[in-house]
Amino acid sequence: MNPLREPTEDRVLLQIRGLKTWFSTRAGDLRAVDGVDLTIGRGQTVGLVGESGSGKSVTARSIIRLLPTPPGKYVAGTILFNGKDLLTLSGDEMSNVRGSEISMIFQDPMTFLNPVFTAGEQVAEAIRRHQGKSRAEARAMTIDIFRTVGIPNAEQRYDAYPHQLSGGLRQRVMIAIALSSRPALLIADEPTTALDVTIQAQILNLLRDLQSKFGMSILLITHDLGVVAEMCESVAVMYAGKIVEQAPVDALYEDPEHPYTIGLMNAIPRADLPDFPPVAIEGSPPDLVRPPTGCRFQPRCPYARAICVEQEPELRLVAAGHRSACHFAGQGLFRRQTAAPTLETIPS
Amino acid sequence: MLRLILTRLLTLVPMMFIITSIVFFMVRFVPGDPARIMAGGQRVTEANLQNIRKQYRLDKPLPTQYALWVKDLAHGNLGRSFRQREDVRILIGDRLPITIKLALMSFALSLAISIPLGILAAMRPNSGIDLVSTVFSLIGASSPVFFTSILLILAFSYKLDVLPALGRGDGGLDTLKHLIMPSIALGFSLAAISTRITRSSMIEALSQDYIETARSKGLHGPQIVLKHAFRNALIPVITVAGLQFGYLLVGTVLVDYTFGLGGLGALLIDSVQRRDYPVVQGITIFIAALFILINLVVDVLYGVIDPRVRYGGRG
Amino acid sequence: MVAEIAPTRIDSSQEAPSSWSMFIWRLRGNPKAMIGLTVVILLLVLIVLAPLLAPHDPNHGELSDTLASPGRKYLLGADKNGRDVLSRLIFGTRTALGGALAVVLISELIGVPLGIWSAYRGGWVDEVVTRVLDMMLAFPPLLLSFAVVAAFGPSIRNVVLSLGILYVPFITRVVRSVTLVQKEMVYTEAAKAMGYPQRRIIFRHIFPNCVSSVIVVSSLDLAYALLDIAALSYLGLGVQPPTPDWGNMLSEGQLVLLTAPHLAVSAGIMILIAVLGFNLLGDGLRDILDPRQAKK
Repeated sequence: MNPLREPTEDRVLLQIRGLKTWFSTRAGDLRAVDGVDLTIGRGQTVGLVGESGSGKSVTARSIIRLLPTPPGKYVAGTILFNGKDLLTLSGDEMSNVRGSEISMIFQDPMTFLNPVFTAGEQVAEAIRRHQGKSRAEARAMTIDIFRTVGIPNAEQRYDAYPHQLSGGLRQRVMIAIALSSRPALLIADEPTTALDVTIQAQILNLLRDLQSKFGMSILLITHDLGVVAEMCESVAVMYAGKIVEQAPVDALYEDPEHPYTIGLMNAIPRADLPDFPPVAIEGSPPDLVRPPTGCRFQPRCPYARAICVEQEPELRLVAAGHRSACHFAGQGLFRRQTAAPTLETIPS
Repeated sequence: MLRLILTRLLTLVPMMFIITSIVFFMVRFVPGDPARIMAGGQRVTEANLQNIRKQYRLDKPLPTQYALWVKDLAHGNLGRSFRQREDVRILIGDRLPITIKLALMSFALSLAISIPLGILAAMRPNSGIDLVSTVFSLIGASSPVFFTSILLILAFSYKLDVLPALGRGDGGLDTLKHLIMPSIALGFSLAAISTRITRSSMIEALSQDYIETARSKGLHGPQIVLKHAFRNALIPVITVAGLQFGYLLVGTVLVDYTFGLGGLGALLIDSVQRRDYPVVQGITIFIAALFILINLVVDVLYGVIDPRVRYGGRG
Repeated sequence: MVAEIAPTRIDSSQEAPSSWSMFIWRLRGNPKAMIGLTVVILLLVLIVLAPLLAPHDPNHGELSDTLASPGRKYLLGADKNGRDVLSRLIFGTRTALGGALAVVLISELIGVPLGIWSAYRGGWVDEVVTRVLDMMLAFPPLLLSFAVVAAFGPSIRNVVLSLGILYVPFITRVVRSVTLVQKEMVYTEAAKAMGYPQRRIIFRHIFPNCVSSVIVVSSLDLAYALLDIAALSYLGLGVQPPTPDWGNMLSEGQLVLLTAPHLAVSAGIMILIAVLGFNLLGDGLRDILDPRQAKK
């Protein structure tokens, strides 16, 4: 992989351009995703970070068109995957893609697994759907996958019901379901958020192993910057339905170029910096039906100026492979301080 | 599973005892002479009253009466009607077949309507079909079953003359013909409630997270609805079906009476109207026993449908 | 120099509307509740203004007009005693709705305190009460009232009393579960910690929160009670003739169904409308009151 972590033309797996996903509500159109560009290369792990309501989950679900369409609607954009625009596929074609070429795993394996079917059956079902195998064949393949994802006693566990398994095992079952047809892209929506910390590490390691084993790409949705640091090569930060910063992971951590990213980082308690307590970002997420004028972060941004209200900043290149949507990015003005940023840090 | 059944019995058997005890004691505490009440308001001589007291053991002390009565029950003896000079259990036995036929036909009809309608309404909320199901449920639940029966008689017997109005017919196919309108009336009433429950529990099931997983697996729409959602939706539906049994019973009694089918319901109402208390007592006990049976069946069904009930969780 | 700009803040300083006006606003927006309420109000008007609204004396019939068809003299026809059906239906509202109200009131007078007390005490008292409730809930009230009527004789009084008692579980179950929730609420704990007497806690904190659930259940119970009373009257076990009642009018109507269907049909439709009204109102109120409370 090149140091810029940007996939070259022939190594691009998925390319999202100008995606807009809105929801019809009584108050108007809720612009959950309002113009997002994202590129995922083959074998690459890309992180998508943001608070709740930032649009990251909606973006992920838009890729495989998982949202209920009323009230959701895919207003604009293209999602290129293997040469086809996923947004133009028919319902049947799309369902062929789901689970076989692109798979998804979800946050809470307790509620995301059907309680009335056995763990094994839920995996075998996916195998029969996409690979046309018989019941017996699917069962054998399922037990095999169970072993691959590290489920002990695979044979017995086939017949176990989700409520009989621990949280970590359930998540492994979910992963087994997702990987059963060797997808090229795995979308992971907060896969470790609902798990205990020790199990989190196990699952993340598992994902890394499986990735190198199968050569698949991973789109990792999370609000946890620590997970991002561990798993991802490239990161995109979302706020209010737009990407506000995108960079290779090291560059993002060393040299963040957007006040929101800095705010996120400052909000994490640091055991190694006891003199600098975490600072919350002021204000609350904006109304996505009537977003703020200009830069969407401007009402909460400690650096905001007149231009921020008047003009919406574009997501532009500010360093090698590093993009930011802030008028003041790329000038070396931001420092990742562990004290609250003050206005004096921007020269007039 | 066995434990489940046993715990259920623990709740239900006392219930049966209490109900039957209430029924037993009620008539003996009514102002007036219990013997007269047992005679059902008929004119009786003093000698007859003495006979009645002997027959119903009213001359014995209360605890003895109760004990003997319980013993009778244990042997399946439900008492004896003074007015009709017949054992209650024989009276019940005569009338049971047609009542069972009516109950089964109505229940089947109500399922045949409510399940498809409920599922369709849940799949397309706030659509035309949903409106139909809501209106259907409301009207069905608000119209007394005996009124629906009367309207059916008016339409199909008197105006259109295609179906027989009253009575049970001569057996076999003719009886079935006589049961058509009663089953429609009762089935319609039951379906009104079942449709509502099916619809709301399907909506609930369809909004669950595991449906999203099923979609992300690339499963087809109908498969998701019928396999993944419906199995889960069935759980509350069965609960309600179990509770509905009480309503089925009441409805059967009323429809039986309205159409003059001569089943258990007609027997019960007639006995109440004629103050034939021993029969009323006996039938009430019989029904209470039926209740326990049905409740047990429902609980077993639960275990079959929901594996969380079958095997306790490990977590 | 770059001028300082204070960041725009979202203005949430508007005054919140009172909960009463919120309720009225939501009520207006709910068609089910509005229709139901209209029906209920109309029924109440019928009860109060019956003597004014009824065109004829409900108990006086001219035998020459026996089973008259609906027409100018008798808008809905006459029954076999020559009495005006419409007038009897109007007066019948009093017995039907009056009986239903009595049933619900009795059940609530017993059930509400029982539910609150049982949930608040907890322990084995609550266990026993719950078990008894469960048993009663499974058995339909109507069947047991048959036994009561058989023993004590058919009369509206016996019907109302027995139904009133048998309806207790419906209200107690709801009140009990609300109380259980309220018990765990922080402000109840706080009140306890401050040493307020139990009575005060119950009246000030728990009781008001039960009100909306009680209202919803009341409306639905009124619908059931109307149906049960009509059924018992239809069977000749409730309101006795000559008192006009929808149930026994329906029963009379069935006897003359072939020649004079207007009697049965109008009585039945009256029952249908009244029950529908309370069902709609109850459903609508539940939509308005319960889920929003939870979301708040």
